[in-house]
Amino acid sequence: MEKDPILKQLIQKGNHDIPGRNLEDRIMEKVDFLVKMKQGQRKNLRISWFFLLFSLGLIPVVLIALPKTLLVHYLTESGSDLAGITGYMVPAATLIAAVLFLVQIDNLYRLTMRLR
Amino acid sequence: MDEDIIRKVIDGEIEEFRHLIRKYQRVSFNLARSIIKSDLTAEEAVQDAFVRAFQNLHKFRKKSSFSTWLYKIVLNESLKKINNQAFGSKITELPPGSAEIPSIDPEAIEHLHREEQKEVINQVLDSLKPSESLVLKLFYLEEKKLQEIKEITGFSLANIKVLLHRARKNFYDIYTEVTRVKH
Repeated sequence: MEKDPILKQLIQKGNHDIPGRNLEDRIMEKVDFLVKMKQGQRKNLRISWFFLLFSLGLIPVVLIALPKTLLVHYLTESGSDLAGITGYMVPAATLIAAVLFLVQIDNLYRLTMRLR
Repeated sequence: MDEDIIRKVIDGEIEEFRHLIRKYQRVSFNLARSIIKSDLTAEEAVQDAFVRAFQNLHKFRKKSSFSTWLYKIVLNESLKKINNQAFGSKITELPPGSAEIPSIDPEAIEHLHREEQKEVINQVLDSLKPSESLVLKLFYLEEKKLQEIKEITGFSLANIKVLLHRARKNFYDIYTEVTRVKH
């Protein structure tokens, strides 16, 4: 399509000026803010991953050894049915903890992907 | 050159982004100003567009030029500001007999000062429909090809041609009217 030289000349004369304070600086301020915010989020994310993995490492101790020991002690003292109660309480607690961990891992993974 | 800057920005040299802003802010503002008839809101749209471009720089695939990609973002941000008010809807052929472009006197504003000339032309451009003003600026100010205008606006090539023709005719009609008043 042919360009109309007269129209071209006229339109080029009518360039709008950007009003107000330096637009370039204002955009860079916003960009810097975004970058700093993202860096802060990344730092928090690293801490969250550390604590999650640290807690995961403690699972065998917290979920299996410790409650069982406490339960055995408590139930032996009170004369209750040891096998019956530990038979459903420990697996149930393990299942709840596993679901909570999986939800947390999923959330952290999504956040990590979003911040990449 | 743009690609070098983009690579640097993605690699963490954020300050390099300033070069892209400096290079494209004026045209971006003019494009936003075609859609939004307010300087302040157009400026906000340009700010938002550059921030969005920065956030999505890693998604720029180099299928088109950076300017085409950026202007598309500018257009989207501008349309958001006016809530997509019927932009580009009902692009129909010109009625028979009205397709003739009137002849104009380009010298009609030569006696005016530079700032006054600019004011007259901007007044004419502001009187056009947003879609007409936008395609005129992309075609004549930014010298984009029809295919690039298609990528930016999402209009078909046939519609762009109709818009350009109509915009040119309307520009000349309003220009003639405005310069007659100024004389």
